[in-house]
Amino acid sequence: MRIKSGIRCLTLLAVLAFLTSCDQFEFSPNQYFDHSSPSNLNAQNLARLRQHAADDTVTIVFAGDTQRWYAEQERFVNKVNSLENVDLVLLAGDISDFGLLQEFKWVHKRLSELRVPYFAIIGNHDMVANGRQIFRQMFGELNYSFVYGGIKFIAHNTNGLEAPGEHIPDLGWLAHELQNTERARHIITVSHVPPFNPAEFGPESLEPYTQLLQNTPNLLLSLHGHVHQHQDYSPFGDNVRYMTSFSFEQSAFVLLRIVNGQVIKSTIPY
Amino acid sequence: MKQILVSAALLVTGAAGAAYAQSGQKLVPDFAQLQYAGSIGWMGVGAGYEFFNRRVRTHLQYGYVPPDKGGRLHLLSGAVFYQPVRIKAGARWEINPLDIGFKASYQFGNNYFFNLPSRYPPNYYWWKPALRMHLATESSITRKLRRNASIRSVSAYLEFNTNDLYLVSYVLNAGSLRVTEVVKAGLGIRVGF
Repeated sequence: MRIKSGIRCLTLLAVLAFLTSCDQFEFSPNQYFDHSSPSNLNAQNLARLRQHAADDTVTIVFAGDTQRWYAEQERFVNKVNSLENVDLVLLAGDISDFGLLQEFKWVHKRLSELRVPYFAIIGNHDMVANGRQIFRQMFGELNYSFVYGGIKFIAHNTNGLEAPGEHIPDLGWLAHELQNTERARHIITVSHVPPFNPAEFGPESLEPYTQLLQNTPNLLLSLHGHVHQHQDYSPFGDNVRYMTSFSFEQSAFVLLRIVNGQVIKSTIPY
Repeated sequence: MKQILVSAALLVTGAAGAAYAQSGQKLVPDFAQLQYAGSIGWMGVGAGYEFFNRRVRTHLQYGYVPPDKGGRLHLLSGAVFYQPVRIKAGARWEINPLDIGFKASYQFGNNYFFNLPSRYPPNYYWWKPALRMHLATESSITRKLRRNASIRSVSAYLEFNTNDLYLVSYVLNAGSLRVTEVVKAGLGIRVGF
């Protein structure tokens, strides 16, 4: 009898482990994907965004650095879902803290409850270990752009310190995108590391990068994460308005309403 | 890195060697195992030694994750387990409800640093992507074979583990992350010699 109950107990445990979710069986914390990890989320969210009829106001929730703050992510989602007329959420990098698949999944599980589409931009923490492969698999290209409501959004990788010699940011790609062949009325660029610290941004690319932005007509904003504080200023004495997001730790986000090229900004705590 | 691998290997084989030198037996491992998942490979093979009347066992395992399972990854891991409870079920069966253990796993490859590369400011990243520390449990059922057989026993086991980075995420999140999100499972078969 004891054998039987023992076997039964173990069988039950094994079956339970299977049933609760096969996610339980992990091959390595560093694996790039598993059988239930999502793919192409940015493209899917773009398709969702396109179903939404754009009016004369584009309303953006601007946030960044979700890394490791899961309880805050749940409160963030509730707050964003309670707001009317939000078009999209921009998440300016550091989705994960350790560049691990599980973290990306934990974050997406929470943010997938958002009523509006969200767009992920790669951060430096997302490039540790296999983060880049995970990001590419789960969200898509590291540099991408789309036009919505007359605004061209140019999302790109500025985490140059993570991969020296790989031309990050990709200035050729960025220059091409900034030419705005779609003839959008306005442009917003968004990336993780802001060009404030030459050592972090890459001393060679800092000046050409800021020059590119400076020479772009109709550039409304250059949005960034990374610094874990909200800043809104023009540090280079040009007309380019750089703005950084709150991190999730700070339980607040920036709401941007864009009407006819005017940026109306408010800070929303949650 | 190499030093750590070498010292881990020495620790395991050296300790085992000393134990066996005393009893005058060979240096063959006490057991070998084949494991599915458990965060140290899609499949892994390992071998190790038992001490203190099998209350403590230690093993090394090589694990592989093929490209279509989320790799290609190569891992080397070492583990120490303690067996507090044993339930004898007749002459041939034994149940071990909950062994507790510690595993360290090393991820081979250029994407995972052990020492922070010099291009970063000091402490830019505090953890080591190449090395994970795991807490683990194991539940097993063992079938003992005849005393003079070359194979002494066969066990099937179910293992749960979490690692340092998952634990940090769990502990700092005031109940938002669930236990099922941070605890991972593995299954294996162990053959005792």
